[in-house]
Amino acid sequence: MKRRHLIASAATVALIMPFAAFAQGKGTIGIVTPSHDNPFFKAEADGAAAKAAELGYETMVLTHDDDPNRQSEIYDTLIAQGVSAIILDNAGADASVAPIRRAKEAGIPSFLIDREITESGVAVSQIVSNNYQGAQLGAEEFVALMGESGEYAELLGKESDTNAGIRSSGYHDVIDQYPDMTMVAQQSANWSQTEAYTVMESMLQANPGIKGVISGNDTMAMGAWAALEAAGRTDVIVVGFDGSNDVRDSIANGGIKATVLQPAYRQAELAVEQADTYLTNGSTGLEEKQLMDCVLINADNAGQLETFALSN
Amino acid sequence: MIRTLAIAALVALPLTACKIVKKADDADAVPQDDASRMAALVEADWDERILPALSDTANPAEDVLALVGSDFAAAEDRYGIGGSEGAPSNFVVTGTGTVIDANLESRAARLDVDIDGDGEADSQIQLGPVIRGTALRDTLDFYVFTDFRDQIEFAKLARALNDAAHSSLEPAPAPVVGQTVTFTGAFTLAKAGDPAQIVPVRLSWGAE
Repeated sequence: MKRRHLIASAATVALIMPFAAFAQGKGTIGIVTPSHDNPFFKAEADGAAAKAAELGYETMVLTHDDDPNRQSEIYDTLIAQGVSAIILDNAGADASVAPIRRAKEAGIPSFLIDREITESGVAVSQIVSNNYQGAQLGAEEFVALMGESGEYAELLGKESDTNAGIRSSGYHDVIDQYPDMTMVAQQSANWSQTEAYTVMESMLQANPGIKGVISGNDTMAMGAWAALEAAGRTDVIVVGFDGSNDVRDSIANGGIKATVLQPAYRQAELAVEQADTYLTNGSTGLEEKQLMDCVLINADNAGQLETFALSN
Repeated sequence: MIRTLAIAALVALPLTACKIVKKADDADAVPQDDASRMAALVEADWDERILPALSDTANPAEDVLALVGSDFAAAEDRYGIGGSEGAPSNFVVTGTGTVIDANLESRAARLDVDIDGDGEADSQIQLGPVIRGTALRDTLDFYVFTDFRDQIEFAKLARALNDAAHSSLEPAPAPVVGQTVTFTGAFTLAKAGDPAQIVPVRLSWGAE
């Protein structure tokens, strides 16, 4: 294995610094994401690290666990380290601006993936999934599966996460245009599978006429589906969001009907490619903020899905 | 590198200022949510900028569809707007076709239209009120994502454009099948073989 792939918490950064400081060739790229416990973020980190190695960079892979303070410490470490560039899935749209600016002032460009920050002109690139477009795709499929009518429930993500709001907004911009679609329940399950199970159970008790469930992410869709199975209600149409392997398998087994793939792996690769172009040419030649379209996954193409990427 | 950074800094400042001015124009009277603010922006721009830009960039639908069918990459090069790895190309077209089939029952009402005259439908025209996609927004080069606060605001812009397109349409005559329709509009296409789902900004019944 020619690449050196380091996973370290902020606490261990100090220990690995002397090694990375000897990095030769094109320098080191810092790769910073939320916890790899969620396979989505692991796919991002893996995609970025593999591409960086392919392009001849050393990598330092770190996680901030959605803690802005930890992210700030990581940034200070990477600045002190003198990395060439930072790939970041950030820990807060507002809180991330300051550390990214500090790095910029130190001559270290940041390339953001997955989540936006509230200012432009601070990061070099912000490449984000088009959550809204993806939500509309999921909603269109959901409406079609429902025959444009019937009672449904919505599982919302964590309220503090802007992607929860974006997806719900995308869902409703489509669904609310169908007067025969009636939302009988809407509740947050905080992106959590276990919470979604409980929420789904009570939703079902209160609204036995539910015909469909649209979920803000795949883990909640999995929880809802488990509750529906337990209640013998596998007739209920469930649509998720993310494109996880779990939901892929459920679709293949005739469970959940559809999800929406965020191209997380490719997005991370693309950020590294843009970092490389920027370091080589002084410019990416592209707009700072870039949207990457999501892709509808259903029984037709679920077999081509693997680790947040679709093969042809 | 230093020069680039300096230029980047110079560019960044006016951009930020520009964004604030633009929003202030629309938000002076009352505080508005994203949807209302974007609807107001579209209303202000519709006749002045949007329709002229689409008229200027429109290519004959028959030519575009023919090249899309025979050589999609060449069609993207020649007629496409805004295509990148993460986002498909958009096309602005104008033309006349015959309605072969229609679904006016769905909220996403649409016409299936024959443009090349072979008697078979080769395109769809979206009548709404549910109009899918972001083709209008993504063909208008004066709307740049970086200038908007986030993807919610940018999405509301796309929705406002689609709503404005829908409300500008005349109702379809009955029976609609067999009618001639003349249109200018935009569509997004990821690959050859996908249906062209045109969002019309001008649509008239009968040949022009």
